[in-house]
Amino acid sequence: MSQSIASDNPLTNVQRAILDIVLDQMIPEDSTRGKPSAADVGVFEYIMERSPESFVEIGRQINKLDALASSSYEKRYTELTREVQDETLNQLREQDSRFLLTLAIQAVECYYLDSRVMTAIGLPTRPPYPDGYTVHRGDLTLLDPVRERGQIWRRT
Amino acid sequence: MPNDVVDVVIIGAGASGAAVAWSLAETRMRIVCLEQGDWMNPATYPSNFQDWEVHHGETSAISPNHRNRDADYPINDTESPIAIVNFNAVGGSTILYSAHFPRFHPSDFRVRSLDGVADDWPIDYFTLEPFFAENDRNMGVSGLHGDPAIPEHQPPLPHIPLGRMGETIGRGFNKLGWHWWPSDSAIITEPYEGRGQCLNLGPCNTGCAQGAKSSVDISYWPVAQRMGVEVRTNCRVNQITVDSKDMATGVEYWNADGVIQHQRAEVVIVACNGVGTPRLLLHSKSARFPNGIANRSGLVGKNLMLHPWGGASGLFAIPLESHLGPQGCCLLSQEFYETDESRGYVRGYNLQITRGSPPIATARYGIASGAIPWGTAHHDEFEKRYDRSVHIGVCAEDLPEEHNQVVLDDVLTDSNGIPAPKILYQTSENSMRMLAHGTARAVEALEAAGAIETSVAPYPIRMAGWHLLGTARMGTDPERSVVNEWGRSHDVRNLFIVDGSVFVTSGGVNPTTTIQAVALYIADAMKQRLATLFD
Ligand SMILES: Cc1cc2nc3c(=O)[nH]c(=O)nc-3n(C[C@H](O)[C@H](O)[C@H](O)COP(=O)(O)OP(=O)(O)OC[C@H]3O[C@@H](n4cnc5c(N)ncnc54)[C@H](O)[C@@H]3O)c2cc1C
Ligand code: SF4
Repeated sequence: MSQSIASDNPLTNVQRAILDIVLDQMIPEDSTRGKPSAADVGVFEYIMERSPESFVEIGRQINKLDALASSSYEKRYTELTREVQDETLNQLREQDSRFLLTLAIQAVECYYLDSRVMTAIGLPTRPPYPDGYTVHRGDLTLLDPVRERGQIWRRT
Repeated sequence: MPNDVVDVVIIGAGASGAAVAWSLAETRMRIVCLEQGDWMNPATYPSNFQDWEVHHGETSAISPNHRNRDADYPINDTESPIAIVNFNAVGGSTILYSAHFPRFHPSDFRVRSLDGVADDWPIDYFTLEPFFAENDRNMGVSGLHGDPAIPEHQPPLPHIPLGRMGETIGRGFNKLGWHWWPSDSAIITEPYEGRGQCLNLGPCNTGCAQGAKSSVDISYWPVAQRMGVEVRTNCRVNQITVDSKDMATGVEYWNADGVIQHQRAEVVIVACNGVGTPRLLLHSKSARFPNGIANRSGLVGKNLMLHPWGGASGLFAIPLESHLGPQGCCLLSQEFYETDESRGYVRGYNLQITRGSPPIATARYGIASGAIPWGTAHHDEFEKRYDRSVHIGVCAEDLPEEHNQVVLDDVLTDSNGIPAPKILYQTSENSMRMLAHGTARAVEALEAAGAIETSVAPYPIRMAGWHLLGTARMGTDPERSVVNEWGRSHDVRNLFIVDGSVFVTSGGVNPTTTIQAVALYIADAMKQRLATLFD
């Protein structure tokens, strides 16, 4: 199994399948808010484009999950129920708080760039420039007590 | 001919170089500015792109060591708890700055007389007052008249919007009876001098695509160029040259083609900032100046002041639209600006209330800190945090100490082989006490405003060495200072320094408006003495 970062496909099919499950475990769909699952926003492609070298570490950590599934349940990670997958993932995260953290960080970056997610959190799906945003100018009468107190700068 | 003798050569096209060039331009002298960087193209700034929060571009890192552009020089800051951040281009560090623009106070120039520490400046606030006003007009500054914490002045443009966030925090300060005010900001809130107004994009610290943030490449430089000043880009100065009579003869520099040149000049003005300037002076060694030009006092590079920075964040129960609007500019509080000995330290600090985190930063921080969990609870926790956070920065006055200094690194060099600056800096006990006090007050203010959760960042914050001051101090005594009271080197009578290096003390506020007022004041002093400039 090649883990070469030059490869177009740095993960095996099994690793890809586990990646999708893990992404869904990280951020599952929330249909009431209109937010998709993180498995459905193109995280693999996002990482491929920006930092494909991260797949070396991500692949290794995915293998750990699969190995734990085999040693504990004699099954591949993909064959476990969601409940048992959650338990297996939590077990590794409890042992190492940084387990799959690089993936998680890149996943949220990609997730909050997805147009469905941006819309769900109330953002327009466009760059900030050139349309910008409106911000309320503010109620200046709130400054009355500050004015009433008078000069506070220290005379020299 | 580029290397004919010119009247004035200015080194560095940042905040201070631009101001001095503009002011001297009216003399019709031949003025050339040499800048190691190039002009920036605002169309490349991240806010042009939907992925702006993660956009990798030329302006996406504030440390030159991470950014590593051709124009950058490395800085060895391993022996400092605070890393140096800057930008090298036409516009200098104003390309990235937040444009928070409070002035120094009158008391900042009199700390020895008032509080018995450091030294008084040889000039005072009221000498600089007309230059502050001139700079406000030239830069395009927004603000609200009547702040009782500073002598009366009228910013040329209306204040930046407070938003719901600003109102909420203002109410908190009112509950405590503490001062607060909308910050003076070098951001235009209305169309001004051909520039479009602020659109509340947010990411001012990666460059303003709209051109509303008053970086000097779009405020001062176009005017100075129209008045005849020549800006030569991609030109890195190696040394200031000197003759046997201790007069500067010009500068040696690499031009854009990498060819070494000598630009002869009647007057040399250094504007490379509080780290770049001492580096250049220390590197300009000669038989007359074996320890670096203009360094007979031995003080070049010493007394580095960095404004140790602290901060607290608060989370509110309701959406505040806090991620919209100029990131670093909203309100300030100067309640704790002056000395009160009962607090356990001398001098004081400014509280800078800045906007909240945008979505990816919120999620990234939440995931990394564990505050936002994995699983179905992700959505609820994200919602609780996004658009509801507010940050308060604590800008602590740093007192001058000779052991805090810029020296030349023995090994590290830039791409031309010039030794890199090395920072030897320790945060003083006084600063640490001040930050403890300031972060506790920031939490108190956030709680009074209704924050349901607060946190304090470990201080001093490392990536916060953005104010670079004190390394070629001003004074009347040549033994105790590098330049005189109008910016001229005590040792070299045609060499001037106009950046934050000349500061005697650091004040407790962001320094750029004061740096530029000092640069304009020095230029004015030069104009008044043109016939006797070298006497
Ligand atoms: C992220 C960030 C946020 C900031 N926010 C604020 C803020 O809100 N408010 C505030 O008041 N200040 C802020 N600052 C600080 C502010 O930008 C500086 O105080 C100001 O730009 C200093 O002006 P200067 O002219 O001294 O130096 P700079 O603006 O740094 O310019 C120096 C120039 O000299 C050039 N140079 C150096 N050496 C050479 C050489 N050998 N040859 C040729 N050229 C050379 C450099 O390339 C550079 O362009 C911030 C800075 C940063 C980085
Ligand atoms: S908030 Fe205003 S000043 Fe800042 S980047 Fe946006 S338009 Fe420019």
